[in-house]
Order: sequence, then C-alpha cells, then structure tokens
Amino acid sequence: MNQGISLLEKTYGVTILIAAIKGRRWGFSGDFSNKEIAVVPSRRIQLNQNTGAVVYGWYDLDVGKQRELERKLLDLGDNSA
Amino acid sequence: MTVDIQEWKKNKIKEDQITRYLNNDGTEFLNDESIENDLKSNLAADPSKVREIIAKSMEINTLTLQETATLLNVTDPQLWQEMEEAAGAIKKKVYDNRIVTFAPLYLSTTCVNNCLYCGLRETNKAIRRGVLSMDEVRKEVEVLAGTIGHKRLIVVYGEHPESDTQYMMDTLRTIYDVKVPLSSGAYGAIRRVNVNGAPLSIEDFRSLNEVGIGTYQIFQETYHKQTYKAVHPANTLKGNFRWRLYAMHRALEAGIDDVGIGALLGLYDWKFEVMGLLAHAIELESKFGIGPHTISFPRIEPAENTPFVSHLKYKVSDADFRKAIVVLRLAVPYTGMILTARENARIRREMIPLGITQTDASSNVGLGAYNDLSTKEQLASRQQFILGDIRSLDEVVRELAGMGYITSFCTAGYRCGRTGQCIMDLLRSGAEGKFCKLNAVITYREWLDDFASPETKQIGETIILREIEQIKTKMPDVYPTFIEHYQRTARGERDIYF
Repeated sequence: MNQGISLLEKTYGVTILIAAIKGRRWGFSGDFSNKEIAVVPSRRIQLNQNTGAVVYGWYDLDVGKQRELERKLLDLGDNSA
Repeated sequence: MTVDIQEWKKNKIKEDQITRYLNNDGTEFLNDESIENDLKSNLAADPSKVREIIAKSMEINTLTLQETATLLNVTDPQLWQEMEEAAGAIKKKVYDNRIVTFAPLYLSTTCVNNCLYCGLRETNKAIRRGVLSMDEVRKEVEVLAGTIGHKRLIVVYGEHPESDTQYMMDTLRTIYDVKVPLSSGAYGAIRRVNVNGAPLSIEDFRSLNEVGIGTYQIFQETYHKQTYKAVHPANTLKGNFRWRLYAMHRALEAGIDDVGIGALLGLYDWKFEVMGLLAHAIELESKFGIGPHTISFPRIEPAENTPFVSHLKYKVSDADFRKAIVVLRLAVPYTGMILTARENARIRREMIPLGITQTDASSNVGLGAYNDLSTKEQLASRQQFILGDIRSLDEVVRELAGMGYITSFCTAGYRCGRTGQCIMDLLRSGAEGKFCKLNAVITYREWLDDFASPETKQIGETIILREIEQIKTKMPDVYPTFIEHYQRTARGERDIYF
C-alpha cells in the first residue's frame, strides 16, 4: 500500500497518512516521520473496516480530482483488506 | 454469570508480562536508591545552573532526573518565581490559553483490593457497592451529554470480575451510542471516553483498544516501593507493584498509544513522587517513543470510614503542591497535566496558571449520582472520596473565561489520526496547538449555544471574539476555512473539526 500512497501523493500534490481504525479512534500507523502535517482541514476516507486515509491538501483539489483520488484510495483499500 | 473470585484473581497477573520489560539484571527502570541519591546530590546552589535547566525546558525538552532534582531542591524564592513564570510560559507555548474539560463517571464500585487510603477498599463496609447496568450507564450519560454538555469523560471502574474487560467494552460502546436531542435541534453526545481502570494483560488491553478509547489512565499511587507495600496489602492484586508499574508498557504494546500516568500525593515524599513520575515518562519515551499523554497528581482526600487519611505523615501542603505542579510542568513540558475537582475552587484558581491543561467540572464521583434527582449533595457512602469543588460546568467555564481561558471541548485529535507519537511530535513542534486553537473556538461556540447560561454566554462571546481575531492575524492561511467552519457551527451544524 505504501508505494501506492506515495504515487498518489506525487500525482495529486497532497499528503496522505494511513490510520488504523479502532471504533472512533483513528491512529496513524506506519512511519509518518517524513510526512508534514499542515494545519489545514483534512479529509478522512475509510478504506476498509480497519483502515482509513487522512488526506491533507484535499480541499485544494477540484471536485473532479477529489472524486478520482477517493476512488483510487478506495481501490487501494480493497486490495489490502 | 457466577465467577469464582479467588480463581479470577489467581489468573489475573501474568508474570511473563512483567519480566519481559525488566532490565537484563532483573531490576526495574525505577530505582528508589538512585532517586533518593539524585535528590540528595543535586543541590540548587548555583542560580545559573537552575536558569540553564529552565531554558532547556522552555525549548520543550524533557528534563533529566538530575536536572529535575536540582529544581526540586531550589530554596531561593526568586528562582521559584522564575520557575513559576517559565511553567506558565511553557503551558502558553504548547497549549496556549486553553483548558480542556471533562467529567468523571464511576461505573462500578466493587473492588477486590484493600488499599488503606481508598473508600472503595474491599473491607470498607460503610460503602454501598454496585455495578451500573447498561440502562443506568445510558441514563448517566444522558445527563452528562444532554443536560450539562460534556463531550469527554473519564470512566472509572473498580477492579472486580463484575467490571472486567468485557464489562468495560460493553459500557464504552453504550456511552458512545448515547445521543440526546437538544432544543437547538442538535444532539448532545460523548465524543471521547478516557478510561481509568486496573492494570490489564496485553490481550485484554488489545480487546479494549478495539472499542476505540481515548486515553488509558492508571495511577501508580506511589513510586516508593516500601510505601507501596505498606498501603497495598500483599495478598491483593494491587499488592503487586510490578504488575502495576508495567501496565502502561503492556497498554502501549497492545496498541493503546495514549496513556496517562499519575501519583497520589500524600502517601510518600512529594519530591520522590515527582521524580517517579518523570522516571516513568522517560522510560515510556525511551522504550516506545511515546511519553504519557497526561500526568495526574491528585492529593489524598477524606473518604468514608477511612481513618488512614486523617494521619498522613506526608500530607502535601498547598505550597508544596504548587511546587510539584511547577516542577512537573518544567520536567515534562509537552504533556497534558490534569488538576481535578478533588481540589477546592481557590486552589484550582491558583494552580491553573502554573501549567494545567485539563480539569473537570460538574463532577460527581458517586455511583449513579448524575441521574439521581433526589440530591445534588455528595453522599460519602457511595463515593471513593469527597470532592473539593462541586461547581457546575457553567460556573467553571464562566470563571475560566474571566481568567482569560477558553474552555475547549475539542476531541478531534484522536478521531483524525493525531494520537500517540504523532501527537507528541505535533505538541513539541507547536502544530497541535494550532489545530487545538481552531477546534477549541468551534467547540466553545457549540457549547455556548447549546448549554451556557446567559451570564456565561455573555463573557464567552468576548473570549470568542478575541480568539477569532488572533486566528485571523496569526493563521491567515487557514482563516477562511476556519471562519466558514465557525459560521456553519453558529448556524447549528455540529461536530465540525480540523
């Protein structure tokens, strides 16, 4: 999944962090030390039952790009479920 | 379900889940002798040395045990004054002028332990015991979320098979499911539940983590082994010092990455306990990369039929309590610090500016007490101890506003990934403070509109205007989105966050 995320980040110019979902709790998983978390609104997308993606820079994308990115993220989630 | 309590107790402690964390020579990270030596040998004779330590702390660095011992040994009033000012400045730097609020909710008062200072000890026959049913839990939450307006709870369980992990999971799910319609058209709900419970095994922590808790909090009570032994009888679960000491290790290993530590001040020398708390924080940071999310330092309070608390050799005076808070703030500058309603209103007013980040209000520690319409008084026979401040949330929010603080009802961080090491890094860098500032204003708007009295709303509006102005000036990039979120909230939308 990491490779796919990196590619999406480059393509759309956003920062994507993967989170483990436990009930209401979303906790970033994996190595996020090289990711910059900007103080901007983020978009949470649940990829499957246990995994979510938090996208920073989402609101800088136009609606078409947002839909495209969401679909690609959901595909990644399906493949890793 | 009938459970053999002796059998349950026998299977509770898993020795291999203690020994795996010990040093190679079988010792613990906490060394009483070494702490006593640090306290004796690091005297604060040189003011420039003390000022260097303060400067290190101001850069949001955790202090060493030796540096902290030096601060604890300061006798010069001028230096203490400088330390107090630095503590306040650190709080402002990391957390700004926000105070997060919560309420305690006792869910069970049955307990197999026999701690001498505790009103809920097993042999105290003056206490009425119980375990709330799911329906009773729901009713308590309806008052907390629907009438008072809390968004964050710390739920408390006695250590007993009736309130074991499965019960904890069931009650947490029940709490999260409660939604109370409000007259504004919105609904009141608890958005973050922190847990104060007994030490669990890794497997039990893992199960609990699945429900989605906020912080898991366990107080060591005292870090001084001999004292620990004296107040926690050996034949009880809590009598096992190491099982408790390594509980946060197990929680972190199980994936619970927000943990809270604490010491009950008054059992032993407060300076030793401050050192113990710091040693614990340093150990967690070095082993897991994650320090404690919060530190608590309650002072022992009177409890029903509990004579032990009337004869405390190490009772902590107000002046020493003040010092403990200041040194803790300096020693662990990024961590949340909780001051509860155990303390009276005057003490809370005096201590909050020294670096406190969280406090409770409208608190009631009696079992089923929030929904008990027969009395608003404290009933000693149903509580673990007696509270010093039973003012309403509305009164506390108003007072804090008068002191220049904004009460934050924010619970966003743990719902969008900012937990554990991530939130620690963001706190150190100051970024989390920015998220919190935005979310504090939005949740304050919600609470003022849904729950505040006219007097509180009036003073709250002045705080909001000031905060909005600051955001406009200091965070111009994010201001347009913020103000859009704020206006949607003012129009009645709820739970919008950064």
